[in-house]
Amino acid sequence: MSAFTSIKLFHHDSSSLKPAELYADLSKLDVTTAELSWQPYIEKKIKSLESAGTSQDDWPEHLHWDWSQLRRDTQSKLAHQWYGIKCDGKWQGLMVLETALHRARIGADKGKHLVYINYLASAPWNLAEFVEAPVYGLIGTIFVRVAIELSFNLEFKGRIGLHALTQSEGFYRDICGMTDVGPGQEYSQSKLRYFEMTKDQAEDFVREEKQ
Amino acid sequence: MNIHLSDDWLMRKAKIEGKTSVGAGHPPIESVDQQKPKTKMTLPASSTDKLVCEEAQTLDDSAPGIDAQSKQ
Repeated sequence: MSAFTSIKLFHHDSSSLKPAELYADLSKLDVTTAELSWQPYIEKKIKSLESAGTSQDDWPEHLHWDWSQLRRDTQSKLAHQWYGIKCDGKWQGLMVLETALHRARIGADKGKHLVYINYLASAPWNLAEFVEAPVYGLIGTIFVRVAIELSFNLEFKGRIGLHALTQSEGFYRDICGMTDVGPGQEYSQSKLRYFEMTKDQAEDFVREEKQ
Repeated sequence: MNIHLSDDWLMRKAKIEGKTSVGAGHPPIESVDQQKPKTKMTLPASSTDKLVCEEAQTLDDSAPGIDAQSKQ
């Protein structure tokens, strides 16, 4: 785990901002620690879905994610970068970015490099589908901002792309202002839709910070 | 990475975001299969001490020779 950047998360209960840390280059231990703390909530959710007889096809996609395995799969790949947000001594969210394999599909920059958000997840205690009273907000917004910043740093002009979880499509389309490109073609067994942020959309997202 | 987000901006975003779910990703198994080149290690029937590693378009268990498959 490298040095952190100070950020703030929104604490729903007190409707106030709380200091947090953004880390890059997460270690195996960081990822395992996050996974272990999230696991009880995920197992509880799986049990409730099973008892309700919900088909696995309708389960949230990220219930199946094996973060430790993903960390092993990407550890020797320079194009993958891991980020995490920590607050109250707990990992509140994880994100994996990929910077070499994906290209823009829309707009004037079609075919040019972008930063692809391979995985992005908030801790289950921050999600309404897991708990009645989510603890922290802004994890997704801050991670999207980090992806845009990396895109600027790599001279990709802010372009980013991702496959949104079904329950999160509204977040990327309505809150982040990304374009819903449609069902992702490369993951044929998946129902996930692909979203992209163009150079202009990224500039709008960043410009809002100064208003 | 230097990101300076003002409290005003964060509070505005928090109000818009509410308790909306966030999450992005794709099926891990399929993505790993896509990123790893499929290779096929073959021990030719005429030789017992030489391993040939070649990139294969498909993995075909019915091919002649003693085959060992590897994901690497």
